[in-house]
Amino acid sequence: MIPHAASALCREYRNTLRLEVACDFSAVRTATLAIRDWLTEKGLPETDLSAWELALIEAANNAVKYVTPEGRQLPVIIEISCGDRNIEARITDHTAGFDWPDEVPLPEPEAEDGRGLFLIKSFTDQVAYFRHPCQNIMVLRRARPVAATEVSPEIGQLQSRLADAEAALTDMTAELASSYESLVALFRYSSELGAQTNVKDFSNRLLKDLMQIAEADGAVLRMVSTDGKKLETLLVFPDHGSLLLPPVALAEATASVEIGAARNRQDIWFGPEEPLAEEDPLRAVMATGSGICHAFYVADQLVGTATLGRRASDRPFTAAQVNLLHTFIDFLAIQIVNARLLDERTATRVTRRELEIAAEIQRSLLPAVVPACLPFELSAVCQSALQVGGDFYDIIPAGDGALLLVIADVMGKGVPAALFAAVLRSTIRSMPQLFDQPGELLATANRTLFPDLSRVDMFVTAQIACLNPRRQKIISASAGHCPLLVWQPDTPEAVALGHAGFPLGIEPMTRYVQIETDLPPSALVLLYTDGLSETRNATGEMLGEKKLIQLLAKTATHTSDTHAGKHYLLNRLEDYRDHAPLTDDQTFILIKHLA
Amino acid sequence: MNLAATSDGTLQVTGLDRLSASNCQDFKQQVQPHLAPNVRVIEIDCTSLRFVDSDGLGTLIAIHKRLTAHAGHLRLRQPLPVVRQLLQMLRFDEIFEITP
Repeated sequence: MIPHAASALCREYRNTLRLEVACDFSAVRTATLAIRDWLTEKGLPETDLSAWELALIEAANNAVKYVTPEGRQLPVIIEISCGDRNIEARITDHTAGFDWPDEVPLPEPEAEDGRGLFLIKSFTDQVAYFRHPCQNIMVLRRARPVAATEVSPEIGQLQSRLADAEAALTDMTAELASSYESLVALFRYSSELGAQTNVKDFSNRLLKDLMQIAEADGAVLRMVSTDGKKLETLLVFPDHGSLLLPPVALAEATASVEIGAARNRQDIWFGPEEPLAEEDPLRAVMATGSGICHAFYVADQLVGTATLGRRASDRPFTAAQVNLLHTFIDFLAIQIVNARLLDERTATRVTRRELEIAAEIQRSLLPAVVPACLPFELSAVCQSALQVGGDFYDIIPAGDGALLLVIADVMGKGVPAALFAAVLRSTIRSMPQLFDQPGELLATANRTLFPDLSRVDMFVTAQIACLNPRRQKIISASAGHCPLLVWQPDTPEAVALGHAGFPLGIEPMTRYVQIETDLPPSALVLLYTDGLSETRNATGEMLGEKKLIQLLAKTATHTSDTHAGKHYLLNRLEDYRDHAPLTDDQTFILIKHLA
Repeated sequence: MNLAATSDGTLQVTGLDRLSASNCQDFKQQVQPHLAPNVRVIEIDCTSLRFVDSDGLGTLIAIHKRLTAHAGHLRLRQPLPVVRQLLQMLRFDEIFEITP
């Protein structure tokens, strides 16, 4: 007979009584009295009844006293099995857990607390405490006294004892076999951890092993969807096809035990006394019998739920089988996390390769050689902070010995910036008739590119200059770009020239002002992107245009040609940032009048 | 549970059937108002006390300490065998007066 216990859910199967008790002292007290009554019916003498009553109340009181805030809503589970020779109790708590001490000394007589563990140990023969991230289980065992009538046994009693011994032996053999199978399976799974394994195949094998060892005949494995909003079916045994188990939303009010287990982080048992709700999707697989649903987490994130069922039996899973479920599913969770990390690594490799290809394309857009333009000499450089940057330059023969110089900075970095750089290059090269009119060239390029740039909210700054060796002049125009820096031998400092209009892609009808500048012998000209003037030193201070102008003057006086000048500039910029890696693209064209 | 003070400074507690985590706070709250300096002895009638756990025992120790602060003590009268054995096992018979 199942005893009545207030605030407790009782379930009895053969010689096992299971109570789920509210987490408060009164409820556990009522529950221990119910267990005492149940043990009385089993014929236990008063001494043993008192011992069990005290040991159980101490264990259960600890479960109430030290419960975690989130565990307070969960029940304390007391399960007691009455064998012929031993009585075993398992108390499941939701505390932070502790390590059972090797020695449990008696506290000093005047100490007000600290006697609980001593009493548990004193009134039982064996105590074990198993810690688990979700819950802990204390196992208490005490020998059952031999009945006085067995002192002179009759034949019938001897037969009964023999049958009991055989049953015990069978149980022990089954337990040993189960432990052996579990160990073999766990070793096999351990060898697969970290390897590239298909999660569904791995889960399939693991769930089949688990069902066999835990004597289950049904199982459902659900995983959290990639958007984290629902549980999706990964596996169902027996396999009726996943269509029978539609996804369940985690946020919705539902009668699903899977959602309940996931929300409360608590195993949920079901069976004849607490059947699955009519609308629970699990009924498609486990409409009858008994089962348990376990939600599993990694790093505090819900990963999924695993449900084991005995469709043809009301026999609940034992504590050992539940531990097995937890252990196997822990392995599965680790394997799932490993698989996700491997997927991310593969995706990163693919992205890196795509960027390498884009960088190769971008490099191919830069001029292979810088054309001659005597009496001027030119050097150029384009260094990307990322594999693919937004800077680019171009040097195009413009007829009559002239060169068209283009330097541009596309907003942003990466593949999109490189693509727009390529489009700008092609657009400019398609208008050779405007090469001697940089202002008009920029205006036309702006009108052409405006629809594409504005659609993706991007813009480009650019400086275009036509270097005319015959007239020894440079004609330039700027679309929101850094000014042209010019150093001449008869001036102490270089000067910044330019009247920047809107960048390309901002205003479709922008007009760009053209500036003509004489370049006498020894003059040095720098076309650059803001990666130069915005170079930062170790304290975060920016170089700025003024210091860049001073640096250009030093370059003019310290170097004799643009090749040496280019390296001088790059080295001084590297010194300024204290040899730290580039944080922005650095692109420039250096022009020197050699005569 | 009933409490009655006698003229010789003894507070008699009767009708206590258990002392455990679920009722020891109530017990302490009922006894505390009587822990005046003129109360030298608290005598608990244990003839109906059939269950005590570690929290109940801790409560008895706390009351005993309050009494010894003004030369008083705690007396447990006629505990049932199951409670008596527990008290002896925990060496409480060395600090409380336990009457047969």
